[in-house]
Amino acid sequence: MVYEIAIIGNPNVGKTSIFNILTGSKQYVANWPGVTVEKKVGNFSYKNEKFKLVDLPGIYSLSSMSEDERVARDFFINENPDCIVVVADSLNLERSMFLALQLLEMNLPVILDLNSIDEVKEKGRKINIEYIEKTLNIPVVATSAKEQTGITDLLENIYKVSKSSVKKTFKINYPERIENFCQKFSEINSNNSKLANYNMKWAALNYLENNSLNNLFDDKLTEKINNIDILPELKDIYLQWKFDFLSKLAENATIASGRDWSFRDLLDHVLTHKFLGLIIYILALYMVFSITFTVAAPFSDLLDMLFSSLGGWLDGKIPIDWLNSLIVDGIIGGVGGVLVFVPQIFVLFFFMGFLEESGYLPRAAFLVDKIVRKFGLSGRSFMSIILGFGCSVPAIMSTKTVSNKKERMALILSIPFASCSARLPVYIVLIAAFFQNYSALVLLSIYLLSILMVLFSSKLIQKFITQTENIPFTIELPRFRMPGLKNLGFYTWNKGKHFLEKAGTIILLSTIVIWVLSYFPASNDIEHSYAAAIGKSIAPITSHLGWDWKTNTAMIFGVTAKEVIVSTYSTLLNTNEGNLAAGLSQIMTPLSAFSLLIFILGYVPCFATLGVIKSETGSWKWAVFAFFYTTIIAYILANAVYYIGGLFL
Amino acid sequence: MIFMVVKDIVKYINNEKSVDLNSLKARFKITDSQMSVLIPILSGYGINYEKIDKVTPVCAACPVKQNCNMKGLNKCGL
Ligand SMILES: Nc1nc2c(ncn2[C@@H]2O[C@H](COP(=O)(O)OP(=O)(O)OP(=O)(O)O)[C@@H](O)[C@H]2O)c(=O)[nH]1
Ligand SMILES: [Mg+2]
Repeated sequence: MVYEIAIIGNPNVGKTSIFNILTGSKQYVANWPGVTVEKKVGNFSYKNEKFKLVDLPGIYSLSSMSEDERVARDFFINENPDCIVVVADSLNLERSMFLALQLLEMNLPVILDLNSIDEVKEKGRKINIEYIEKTLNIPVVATSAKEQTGITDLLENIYKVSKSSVKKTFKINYPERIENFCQKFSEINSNNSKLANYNMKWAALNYLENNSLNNLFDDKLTEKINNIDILPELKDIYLQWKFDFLSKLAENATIASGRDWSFRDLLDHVLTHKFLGLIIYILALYMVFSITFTVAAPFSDLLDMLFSSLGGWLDGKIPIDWLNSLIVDGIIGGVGGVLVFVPQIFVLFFFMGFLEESGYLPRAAFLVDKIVRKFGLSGRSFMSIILGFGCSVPAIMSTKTVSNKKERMALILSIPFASCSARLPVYIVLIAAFFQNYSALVLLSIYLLSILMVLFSSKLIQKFITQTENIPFTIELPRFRMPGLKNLGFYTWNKGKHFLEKAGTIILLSTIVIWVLSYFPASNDIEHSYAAAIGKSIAPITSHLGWDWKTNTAMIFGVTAKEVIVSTYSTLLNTNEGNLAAGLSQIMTPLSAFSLLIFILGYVPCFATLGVIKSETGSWKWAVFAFFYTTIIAYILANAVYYIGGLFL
Repeated sequence: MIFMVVKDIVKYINNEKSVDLNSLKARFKITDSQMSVLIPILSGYGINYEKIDKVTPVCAACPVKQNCNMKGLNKCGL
């Protein structure tokens, strides 16, 4: 038999971190609330028993009417898990207690896990675990996902709770009027079959609190229940009781120390400064880009040398002409030409990881909240935009927690303008060919422009959505944390791996197709190949920008994945990366290259992004819209840049 | 503890357009920890975070602020 265990708790308390430790998986962990947006399932065994573990998105309570809280509630009622681990943040116990109490009221088998206990120690505080255990009458364990302590204790308790046949019942004394109400409520509903799945006392309390189960009672029952007592009064008494109970619990559970501020607070003070904060933020970005050029470049050159010598060594060794060309010019030249950017991609993700794990990301979001509101977005949305610098797919998925529908729609359709990591190799190649002297600056300006494009695009799209809701910004600021190297390593590998996978699949495939098109029908005259014909077919709309057919073909195939632009250039220019820059500088002017950069920044989201746009909006219509919308905007901007730039150069 | 403070707070919030956490804390003399308990309870009254501005009162709660004398530096953006 497999026991089913659920992990639940407030956002950002470390649920997924615990899940990863128990199941050995590498799910997405980051230091901001709302990282996990879909439930994740994993398995583990302990003492010869099998367990299925479910990680749920973070919630604050089970009583509100919001979609995610309802989903969680239904999960507990329908799945009836054998054990529920409520993960709480040890430094903010009181916030988690409400949810824990609600689960207890549903009479579910709960274990309370006080996570991040390392930070409690660091602050010189102590938690009185026995006191909580006695008051709530449930097992309580203290863990640190960071230092991996308390895990065996947690496992042992999961084991015990799941195996015990007598489920503990939660016994708590409510005020008398409440108890009376519950009593009468169960008498009235004793024949109500719709309530069969529910714990009667909980149903009674829920009825008092906000009646979110209202469809379970017909008019006659409702009338009877409402006559038991003066319900609004009871509700006040009940919730006041909860407040008192939980305040007392929290007060007695933590033994505080004298020190009230630390280095982190000082950091917070400076980094959230109105102007300084923003400046530091932009400087940090600039630094990241410089590092992609300085630190990563030598590694990249090394890889490049490796691939060129491999190509050089193989060239001519394969007796069949076309096969030789396919492997040397196509695969090694094309895919290798993309793979040399592995160091840059990993550096970028390392810093994205730092941004996410330290807690800086939501702070930046708060800082720009006022500015982005002018564009109909909130700071929360800004976080998704920055996530888009990594990859549009998780960025679009992270909009699930944006509650304003109009804002969310605008965001989903605009995030493709956020310059994702796949475009980085293309920028680097073009920058190396044309703007060597200001590389970091050009890159920074592209990213800043990309943010502007997302903002203006959101504004534009919202003009067409007639529905006004105000934009709440409900994110809770996480604590600053020094990211652990291990976590950062995980993060970087998890995200960077995706790039390698693409290189082995879609990029490889596209490269082969391009090679075929460029080799046939005339094997040594590329100007008359199919690839040339394809590129030339759209020449009428690109030649005035100074883009030749090779550029056109690269753009067309870049639709599959942006890196393919680089591999296409490599194949068509018949060079590897080092000479790619030289080859590129032959086929266009710096101004054409700059307008090309802008075009690449904006045009057509990749296939994966189109797919996620479809799944998040629920319709292909929007994916098709995004396809044309982004391309048209990018084309207009590229033209504008070319002609306006032409006036100055 | 003042009896029925929750009810009073709910009444107060419902009468205001938007409320920020610090004024709420000062007005009803509740501690940070009680505030944390209170927030999910308020959702039972249909009061969500939108109505209460910014869940974590970063600037006013900033412990450095009281000790920071540099005028230019003491400008919290949150
Ligand atoms: N110091 C410390 N940090 C921790 C601990 N557990 C988790 N973290 C950090 O807390 C942050 C949030 O962790 P997650 O596991 O993503 O939290 P979550 O509860 O799954 O968050 P959501 O999915 O957003 O609800 C990350 O930055 C973790 O590295 C811990 O025990 N100690
Ligand atoms: Mg999570």
